Amino acid sequence: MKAEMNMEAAALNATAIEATHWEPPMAPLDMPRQVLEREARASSIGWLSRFASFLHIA
Amino acid sequence: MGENGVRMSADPQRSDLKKQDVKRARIYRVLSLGFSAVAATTATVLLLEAAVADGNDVWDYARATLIFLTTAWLSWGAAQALLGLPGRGQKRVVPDIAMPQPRTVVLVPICNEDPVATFARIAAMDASVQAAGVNADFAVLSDTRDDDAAAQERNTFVRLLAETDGQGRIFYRRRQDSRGRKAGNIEDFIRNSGAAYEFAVILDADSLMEGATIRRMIAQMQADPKLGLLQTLPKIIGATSLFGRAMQFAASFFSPVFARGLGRMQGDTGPFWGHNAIIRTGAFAESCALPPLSGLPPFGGHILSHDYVEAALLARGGWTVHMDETIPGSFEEGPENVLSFAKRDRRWCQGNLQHMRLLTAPGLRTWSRFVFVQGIFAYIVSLLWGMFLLASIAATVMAPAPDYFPEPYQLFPVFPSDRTQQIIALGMGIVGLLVVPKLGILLQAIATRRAQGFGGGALAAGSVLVELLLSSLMAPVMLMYQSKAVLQVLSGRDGGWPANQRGEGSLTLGQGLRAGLWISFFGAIALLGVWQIAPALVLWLMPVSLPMLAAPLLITYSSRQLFGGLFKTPEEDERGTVVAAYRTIHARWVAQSGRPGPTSTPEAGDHAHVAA
Repeated sequence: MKAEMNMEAAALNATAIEATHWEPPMAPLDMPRQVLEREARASSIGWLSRFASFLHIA
Repeated sequence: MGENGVRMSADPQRSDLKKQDVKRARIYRVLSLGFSAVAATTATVLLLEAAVADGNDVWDYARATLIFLTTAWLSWGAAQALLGLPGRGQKRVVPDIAMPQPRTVVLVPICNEDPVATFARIAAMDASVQAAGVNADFAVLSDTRDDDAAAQERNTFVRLLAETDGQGRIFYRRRQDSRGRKAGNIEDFIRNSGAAYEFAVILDADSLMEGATIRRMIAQMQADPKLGLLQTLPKIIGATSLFGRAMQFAASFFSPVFARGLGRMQGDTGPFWGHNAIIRTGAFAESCALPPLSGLPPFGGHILSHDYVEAALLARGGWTVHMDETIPGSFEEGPENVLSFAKRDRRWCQGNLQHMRLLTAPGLRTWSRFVFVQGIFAYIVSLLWGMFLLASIAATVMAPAPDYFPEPYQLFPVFPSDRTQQIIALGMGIVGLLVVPKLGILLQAIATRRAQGFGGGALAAGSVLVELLLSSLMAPVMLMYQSKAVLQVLSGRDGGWPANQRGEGSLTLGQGLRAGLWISFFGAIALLGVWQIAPALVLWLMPVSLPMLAAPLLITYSSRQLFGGLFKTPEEDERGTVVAAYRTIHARWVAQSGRPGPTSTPEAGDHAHVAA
């Protein structure tokens, strides 16, 4: 994208278009998604299934 | 990485110092917890002694439990202040930046902010950074959704580039979606550009920082390779209203002492307040990509109070997080009235209560979990105070009539023992926990001549007294707002992420009535109800019910401009600072743009409303 700017000089009213050189430098950095929740659903389902097998209903 | 995933320092001497710091922090924690436990237990015993005089029932035990919890919370705050009263002792050697300079970027995430004010701040900071001999880039990270507002941002950015000759070191990018809100905005930058920078200073749109401050923060990060994040204590600037100036004074006069106490307790597991801090980009990248929580808001979805979680995750990753309240030249703006304070507080309330989901997050330090509990408690406690008042009324109403002749054939009546002394002792103890820390800070400021910056000992004492009075009057109003926020969140109402309304200024009486009439209504109901069922309690209820009745007036008139020298702070002398430079640039840009100026003079602070 080319930097362009239409300036109405008298009115000092610029309409700028985002330009590529406005962007921060491209320098990717790995950012692994963190784990914050224990597998609550899995464990509760596991607990339920264990409880159900104990009651011989599953 | 060492054992247990803790990052080990290569320097044995530094490692020994760290161990000493950790040990000291543990001692401070035990002392503070012990102090809180003793104070809470004493309050509970006093209340029970008074309560069981007329026989005990369930309301007495409810009151005892509630007074234990609320007093423990008050004592915890008092402990922080008492712990922070002693100064730092020997003067620390502040390191200077090591060459070659590390690549550093100053990040300014924005969302529907006033672009003229925001970019004028960046222009001022850019000049200050260059004057301090620091090579730092700036990156404006926009999440603005409104196209007109985004166009204004671009236009103002063109002006910023032209004025600073900043092409190639001042950047602007606007995300196509605002996933993850502010935390997602920062994350997006780090994912795409993080490898270009060793350090990133994170600011808010209303933040200002001296170039020398940034230089010092970089140097402190260089000096301690284990340091993942360094948080400053920003001072509030630009307040003009009674409410705003009282907050500004409290932040400048009391907060450094509270923060020093907090810092002593936290040790290496310090706080992150989301802005006016520097991060080690690599540490942040490897530790702080936040996942959305399962389920729907308010408890699921994006993490609102992300900063607390990021600090906890850095600690989990073996990085240290420090707060250094001695770093000068770090500023922000604050709410100018109760209404804008309460709006911000609603978001913080939801964010902190959301942390209930994270108490059992795997691998967190015990202290980090405790910090989450503190954050949750900071909001729940309002509800607990309300419940205590209700339980006290219920206990009085339900109390059996005095039995003057409990034994058959008794010759003389037995009068119930007077427990007024215990109640007065309890009341004085609770007031003491609120007042003594502030008076202690005043005395310390006079003794160390710190009060000179606040207009001298007499003016500082006057400001402290008025602040105490104002905060006492406001406490029931805040209690109602916080209780409402907690109940809304607990009932599943998502407050979202409303646009910041910085500098929202003076309120009309109509706005005050709309904001506070519901509080007056509850105050009147409580007063009339108690008058009918337990008239003896009316006097005790007055300190709470009268401010509630006057809520609209308090909200309105505390938003009005404060004249006179009260609440003077050292930061008001802005000569030669980045704040003064910002005011000059902002005034010029507003004048040149030909658009209406801010709602008050630029010299008085940035009061422009959101441009969108």
